[in-house]
Amino acid sequence: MTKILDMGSPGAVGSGARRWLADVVVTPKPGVNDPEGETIRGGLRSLGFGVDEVRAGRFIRLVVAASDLAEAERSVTSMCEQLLANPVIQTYSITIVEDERAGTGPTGG
Amino acid sequence: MSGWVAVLSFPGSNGDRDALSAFRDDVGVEARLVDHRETALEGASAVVLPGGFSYGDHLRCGAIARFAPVMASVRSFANRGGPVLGICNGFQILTEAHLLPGALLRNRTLQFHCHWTHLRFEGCDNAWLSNIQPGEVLRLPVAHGDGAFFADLETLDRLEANGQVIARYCDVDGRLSPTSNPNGSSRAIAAISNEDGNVLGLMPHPERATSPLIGGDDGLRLLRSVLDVLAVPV
Amino acid sequence: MAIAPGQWREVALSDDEYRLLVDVLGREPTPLELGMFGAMWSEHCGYKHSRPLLSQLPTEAQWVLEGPGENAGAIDVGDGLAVVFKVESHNHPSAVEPYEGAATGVGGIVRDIFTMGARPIALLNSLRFGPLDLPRNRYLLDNVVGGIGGYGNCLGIPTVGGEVFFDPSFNGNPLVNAMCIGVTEHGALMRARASGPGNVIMLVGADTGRDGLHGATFASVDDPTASHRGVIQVGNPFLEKLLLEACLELLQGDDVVAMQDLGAAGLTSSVVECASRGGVGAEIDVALVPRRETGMSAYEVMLSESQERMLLVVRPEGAARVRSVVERWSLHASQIGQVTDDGVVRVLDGGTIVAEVPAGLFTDCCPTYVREGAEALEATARRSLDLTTIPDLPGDAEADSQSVAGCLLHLLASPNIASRRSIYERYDHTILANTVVAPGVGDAAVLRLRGTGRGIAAAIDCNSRYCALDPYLGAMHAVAEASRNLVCVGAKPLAITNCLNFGNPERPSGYFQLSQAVAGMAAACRALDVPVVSGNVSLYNETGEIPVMPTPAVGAVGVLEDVRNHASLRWHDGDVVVLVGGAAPSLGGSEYLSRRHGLTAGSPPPLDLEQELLVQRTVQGAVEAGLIRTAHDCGLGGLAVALAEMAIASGIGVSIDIDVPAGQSNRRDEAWFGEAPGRILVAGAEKDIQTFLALVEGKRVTATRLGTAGGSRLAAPGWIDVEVAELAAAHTSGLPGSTQ
Repeated sequence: MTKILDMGSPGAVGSGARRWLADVVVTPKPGVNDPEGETIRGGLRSLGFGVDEVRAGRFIRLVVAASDLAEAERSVTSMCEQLLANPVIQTYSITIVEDERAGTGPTGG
Repeated sequence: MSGWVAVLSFPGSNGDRDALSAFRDDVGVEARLVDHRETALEGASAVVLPGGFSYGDHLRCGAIARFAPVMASVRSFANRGGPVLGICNGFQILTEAHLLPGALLRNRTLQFHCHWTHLRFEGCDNAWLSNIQPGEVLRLPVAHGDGAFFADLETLDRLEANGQVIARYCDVDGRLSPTSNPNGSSRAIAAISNEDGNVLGLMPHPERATSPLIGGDDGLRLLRSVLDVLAVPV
Repeated sequence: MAIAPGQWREVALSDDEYRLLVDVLGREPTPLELGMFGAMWSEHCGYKHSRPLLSQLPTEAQWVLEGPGENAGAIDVGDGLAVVFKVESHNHPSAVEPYEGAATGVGGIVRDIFTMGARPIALLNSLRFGPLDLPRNRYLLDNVVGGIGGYGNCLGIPTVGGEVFFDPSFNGNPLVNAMCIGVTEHGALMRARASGPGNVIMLVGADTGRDGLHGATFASVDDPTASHRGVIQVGNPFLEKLLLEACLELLQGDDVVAMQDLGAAGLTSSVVECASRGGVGAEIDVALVPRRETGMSAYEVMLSESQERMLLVVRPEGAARVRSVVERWSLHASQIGQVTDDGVVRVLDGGTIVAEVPAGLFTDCCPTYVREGAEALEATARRSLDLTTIPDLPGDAEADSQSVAGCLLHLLASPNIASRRSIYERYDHTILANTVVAPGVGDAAVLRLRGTGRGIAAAIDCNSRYCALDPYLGAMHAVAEASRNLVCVGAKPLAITNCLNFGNPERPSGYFQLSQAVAGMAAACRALDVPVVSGNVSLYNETGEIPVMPTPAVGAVGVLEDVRNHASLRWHDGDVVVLVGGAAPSLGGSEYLSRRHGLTAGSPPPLDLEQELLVQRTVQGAVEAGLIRTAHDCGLGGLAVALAEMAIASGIGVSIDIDVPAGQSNRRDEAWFGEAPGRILVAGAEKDIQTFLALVEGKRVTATRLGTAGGSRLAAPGWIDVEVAELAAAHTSGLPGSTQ
């Protein structure tokens, strides 16, 4: 692993806690210009789809440890406020479910 | 003259050596690279956040660099009134760190752009602009993918009222036109200042415009203001 | 595990090659050994078809510090500085995933340069696509350019030059060649030769995943889309930037004795080449290789082409220091083995030997082929062109599409001639603050070498159409043109790097093109005194048996003793415009025939290398002396297009006041749009031109005064009279995505 984020980890995963799957969607705030969204809308329209608005954002999946849902929510909200979203230009939404999968780490390709 | 210019180096910075050599070789002052893990800027008279792709520009440009250990020192340096200059990615880091208002979005075309631009300087009440007169047009190169300055209307109005809008993209005669704004910046803003006038963020690259041989030396005029800065202890 | 009959074909070895393998090894290979041989004996790594031909190329000169064989070539540019450069193809990966394919192509060539201990200071590229009316080709262009920019911009290396050409033969098989130039001091040049048994072998950079498995093998067969699916490498320029800085810092000390990047055939090729160049053996344990994925086999680890990895050979006492430097750059270094004295490459997996092969078997025993070449009948037929079947242009100054002026506008908008601005503006070309002549400003890029007053120039060129019509002559033209572009900015050409992009060499017509092109290139390199110091071969560039136009791209590097004395395309009001070189223009293989008449036909213009050298030296000397500051090669589209390009670049018109030199057949189209080598337009103030003409007098070089720059129109009474703005609009319209 390349260690890039070696600047301390305030939200470090606690031990013995339950695991939660948190999906964070970050999108441009209303009124913030979104050229990527406009380009996608233009492409969809040229294919004949009647699309009124497209906002392009970013999807981030996290696996966090917390003793309950409320703690998981607090933790992920704090991540969004501090790093994952920039409140000047972005809003975010969070969806959390308990991670039922076996295994010890985030899965990936 | 005492003091020195601190040029910060984050993982992925790539304009750090250009900035260093512009200050050392072209302006002729002492300048040192300061690693992102440093926590002290003792004795530095000015701080420069150079261009590049800090941390690969992942998440958002400047979002991760903002948390580098050195940034706490930059913040207190700026709060003491020390002159801080953010160029390109450095400007992005300063907005992410809330040392400057607003944010920098993807270019209107969604593409990276590299070319020379003209800039009309307006508010020049800033530590970095002692050599530039309001109304002057300078020619500097831009090279960025995320350079569209954005702030909400209220903030934009406040910046204008406070004289914090430092420079706008313009044509060769200093006029603003739709084609002179290369990236879709709000009100064609290319550079802004904080309220106290000691922190400056600009998208174009003065450190790449230090000699007629490489296309122009207007950038050198801007960087030379550091000579006045070095004369004043922070 | 025994090798099943025919299993060797899965790694693209022929039955004969497998028999040879068993013969030299003295036994059946293990599955891993078979995979390693498949990679090392592929065309990509083993140069099976090209090696016997490449020996014709001149590789030496007094100023050559390092010729072919290392990661890149190196030349002396004065003041103790060495310039290191190489071009490499990434055609097959780019055909499948253009953004990542192009990006990792840049990543690979950059590693080749800093592996030599040189700091990369410039990138160039040579690109080929099918016509842009096909959406797939527009997609490929957009993403290849995006990938090159995305990687190079992030690394902070300016992309300062390049060329692009469109032809239907590149449908489905684009060419993406990336060239990198670095600079270092003579003494700091690094070689990739492992030495000193007991020295430790370390792997630095990215973890190893399954990406790019067998890339080298599949670059050597002719269906890239089918073969490459699922093995695409994804680049991480941020990681490469850290690797670059870490490696350059390491090379300042004495702890590292050799460095080799992991490119095609990954760990296999880097270990084998490092050992065989140094005449030593190497023992590594794949269990010690950090991985990005679980469950990887030794085979996968040895053949992965994961990007951004570097192999270091380190003195044991320096290992800790190396580790600490690497870690300071947020990377890690893993010791995976050591240098041995038995000449054997031994691979272990957790202590168990899984491969054990003398290094030389991979390199020296690789079979080579000399085949019979024969020109395709169709190519011979194309070369014979009866010009009388093609109507000449009417001589009328109206901007009517049939007139000379109308034709000029039409040619300026040809994708092969049009402004490249929408491409090069997506590349950072001002970073490092050394760019003296930027893209679009001159015929070659010029960079200053700080602290010396000198500069270097670089250009990359090839007329694929000439090469399709006559590969020998076409390759000569490629060398002459690259070299000519350097002299047009005032640089003395010193050496070249080449990237030989061809179709299947196993077909007689394919082998004919390859062998003829190499011979033509060798002749031109000797005549123009530019040795080949590095290069790359990419064969099997075909789609459904249709080969690409042969494209031996030539990247040339030259030096400017005083970088202040350089030239650009821009003339000034009142400048006298002179045509240097008297070669008669010809329509054979011209852009005019292609664009106006849809023909790829005729014989490319003849090339008198002696005359070419005279013209080049004359112009170079005049720019070097500070006499001439405006020069431009007459390339595609001939004299009319060259004049228009200078007018557009300057924003100043020109008035031509002599009758334009006619071609061989006294045709208007030939005079204005015919092409010929050794023709350079120069411009300057009256008194400087007087001095220049006096200088030329005794030199067996023709110089013809054409007219005077000024005003807002390109005007040749009776022929052309067009506003420069109109020319510029046509020029800008030829490529999609112009941003301004």
